[in-house]
Amino acid sequence: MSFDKLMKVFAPDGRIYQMEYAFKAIQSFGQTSVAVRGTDAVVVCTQKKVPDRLIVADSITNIFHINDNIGAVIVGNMNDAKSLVTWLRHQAAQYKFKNGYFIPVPVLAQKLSHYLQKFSQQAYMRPLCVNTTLVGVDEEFGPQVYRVDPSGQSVGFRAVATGSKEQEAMTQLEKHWKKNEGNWDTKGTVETAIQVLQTVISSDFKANEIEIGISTAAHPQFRKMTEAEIEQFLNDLADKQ
Amino acid sequence: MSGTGFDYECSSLSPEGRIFQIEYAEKAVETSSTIVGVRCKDGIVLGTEKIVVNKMMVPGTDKRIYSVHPSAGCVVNGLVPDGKSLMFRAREEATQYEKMFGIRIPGNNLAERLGMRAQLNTVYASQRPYGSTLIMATHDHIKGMGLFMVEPSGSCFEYYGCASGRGKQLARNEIEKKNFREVSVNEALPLIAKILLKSQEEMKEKKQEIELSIMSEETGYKHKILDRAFVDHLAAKAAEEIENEQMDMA
Repeated sequence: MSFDKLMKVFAPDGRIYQMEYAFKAIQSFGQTSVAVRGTDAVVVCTQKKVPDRLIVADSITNIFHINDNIGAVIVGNMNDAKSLVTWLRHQAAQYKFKNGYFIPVPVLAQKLSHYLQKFSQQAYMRPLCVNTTLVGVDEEFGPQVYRVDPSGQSVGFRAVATGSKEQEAMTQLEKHWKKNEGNWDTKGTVETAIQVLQTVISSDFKANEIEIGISTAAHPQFRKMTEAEIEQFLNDLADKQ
Repeated sequence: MSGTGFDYECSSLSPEGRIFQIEYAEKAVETSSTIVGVRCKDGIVLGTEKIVVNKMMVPGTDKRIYSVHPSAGCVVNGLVPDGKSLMFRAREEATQYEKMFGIRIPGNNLAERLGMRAQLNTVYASQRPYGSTLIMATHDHIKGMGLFMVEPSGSCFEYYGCASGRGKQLARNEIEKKNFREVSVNEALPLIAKILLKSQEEMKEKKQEIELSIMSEETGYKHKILDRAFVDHLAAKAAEEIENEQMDMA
């Protein structure tokens, strides 16, 4: 077994195989998430799959609160995800303590990026097999969506999908974007996210099979929607079609 | 399932993105004693079955069920020293939380911390994953009862009923069949004793021992490890029932 596939070193063709395997690992979990940035709101949306009847449904989630104003949706290895969420919460709290105001999403994304890059360069640790999307409505910059991948690359998006169906979902998001240059109001943002997810998973959701997190300029506190609210949006969408 | 070189350390991912060290740790758990946790109407029951390895051992000293704090208890399987290490960590977490915040640690916080501690051992080349699964029953005044299972990969979820070890499939089928949420803890105990004994069917020639603990309204939601005499009595009755069932079938 060639050492360049075993350890985090450069292979002769310039690739780092261990990092590529980490990306593959994310696909193997079968989760997809969609995050959309509107003119005054950000929405994250993901499928809620409870693998076992005996599990309490509330204990399974891909959407996490980081701060009052920042949320994260994470796909991939959920154990790595929980560890990462604790780290993110710590960073956000420290920033507020030191500087007196909430950490802006781009700054947190940058910190996460530096943290994950370390995992890609040290031999004794493996990369965390998760794709993180940070969202929030920032007081200075407005709605923000940042995706940070296992190699530490952090990029701002207008709309992004991660996970096993990300290619398809990105194509769908581009289609929706072309329609109105991304000028969605709050309702439009939610509907775009749900529609794209429904198309790629090719099934219509019930309110308890989907998780939606939202933050708007009017109510910047990131929160997860209740089943009743999700039901409302799904019904409106169904009526439209 | 051969790792061929990608399975020496936790810090290597295989080409398909699997971490073989974690899968091997789960294998170690799969072939070990069965542990079960069941949430009943008014409480939670934890239990385990084990083979008595040495006739010279004083019965009841090979403990698998431990209390973490007065209203939380856990049971471990697999490599028992690993499980004990995780259990001691749980005790430390609970003490530190209470010292800092003044209230007893809520069940889901404790379970999550243990899950993350287990996950920590799956990242570095210098560590191996914990070779045991831990099922924990907790009670707090915020969310009430909680039953959690922490696996070698660091997965930690809340359950209505869970099992791990060699009798996992059998135990899970029985738990799903019987709706334990409608049954009280006292009614559930003999049923769970039966499930535990059934799951060590193939090891019949060796001497078996079961351990049980409860945390219910009756005990004031304090974790109570049932004493040897009572448990042996339950086991004897359950063994009798199993024999009668088999004679009826034959």
